[in-house]
Amino acid sequence: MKKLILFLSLMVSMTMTSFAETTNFQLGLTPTLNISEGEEVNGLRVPVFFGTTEKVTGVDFNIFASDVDEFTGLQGGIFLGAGIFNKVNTKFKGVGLGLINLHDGNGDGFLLGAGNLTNDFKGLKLGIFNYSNSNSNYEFGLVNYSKEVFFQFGLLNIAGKINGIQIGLLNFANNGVLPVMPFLNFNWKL
Amino acid sequence: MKKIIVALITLLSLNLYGEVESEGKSKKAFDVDGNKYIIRPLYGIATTSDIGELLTFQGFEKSTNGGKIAGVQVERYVYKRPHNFPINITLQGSFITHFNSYSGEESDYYTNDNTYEMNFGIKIYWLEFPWDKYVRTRLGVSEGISYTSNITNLERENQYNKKNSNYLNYIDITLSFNAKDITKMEKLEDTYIGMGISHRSGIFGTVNGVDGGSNNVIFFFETEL
Repeated sequence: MKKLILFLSLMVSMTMTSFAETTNFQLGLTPTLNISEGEEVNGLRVPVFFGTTEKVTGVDFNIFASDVDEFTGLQGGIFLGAGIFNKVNTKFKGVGLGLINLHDGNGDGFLLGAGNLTNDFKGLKLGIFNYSNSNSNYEFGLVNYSKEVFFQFGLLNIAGKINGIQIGLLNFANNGVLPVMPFLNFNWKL
Repeated sequence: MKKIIVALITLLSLNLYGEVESEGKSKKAFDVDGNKYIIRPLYGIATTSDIGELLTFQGFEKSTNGGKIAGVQVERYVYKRPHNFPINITLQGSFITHFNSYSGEESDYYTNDNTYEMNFGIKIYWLEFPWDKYVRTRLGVSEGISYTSNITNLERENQYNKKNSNYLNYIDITLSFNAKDITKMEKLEDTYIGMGISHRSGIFGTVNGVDGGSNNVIFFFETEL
């Protein structure tokens, strides 16, 4: 127990002494505590319990849950190679593997997860449930639900506006051939 | 007691609930408005049906010796509607006791007596449904780890002559409806009633080599504090 206390004290003292604007490694323990603190990480970041930082370029290896403002690179983690909960607040570019991927702002790349919730996303989303608050390019999932989308493939596809094609058991799109179509629906002005 | 004090000091030193600077930025984890906790007492019935059969209403077979569970789940809100997505995120902890219609005879080994289950995980709630103006509904799915003090009857039966484990992956799926919208009683604004599935499994052999698991259909009410 003494060793544990000593180790924790050392870690806490490190956070007081190792502040830098940019760092190559960061261990994000809690929303307010990062070991090797810095606003920007170029390299490896290991968020543990909702570890929060501003900008990451490189690899995020998520132990439990992560919260980052801007991310470029690969997000993975401990759950079969994926993070359990990956939250990106403003900008994402790269590959995201997470049980839940929650992205606000603009995204660009590939997302694989049970639930992919994004705002404006260019690229491919593969998951059980895909949701987009804004525009999304390609969605593959059991249920796909997007305000505006180019391509959806799934059991149930729902789109406010479809710019391309929906393929699935039931396809809902306000500007489709019909608002509800079985198997296939597409933009009438395609 | 010393260990508890050391653990509390460690938590404080980790600054888990430290001052949060959220002005002008997205809110950090645990910085939520309004109610912070969900308390959910639950009662459940053990079933040999798998999760797919239960979700698609294709079957509900009770376990052979009438297994049941009762317990309580406590959740702490981490995010409420982050970036206006119609979701809430919570951390969930559960304490559940297992029991059944044990005959009490010496030859009856199939008892769940003194079997307790503890779970910890993260839960995501979906909050948007077309019928929300009539009755607010939330669908929750959690993912985490589960520990049982003994192998339950249900898992012993499901995994007969195969690997079992006290530690398994945990999933629960709940669907709940706002009690105020149903009863029109103002005091029930923060209370929901619902049902769901409490699931333990080894994710097809990924966890401790266990290819199988157990399901309990649960009934509950949940209130927020």
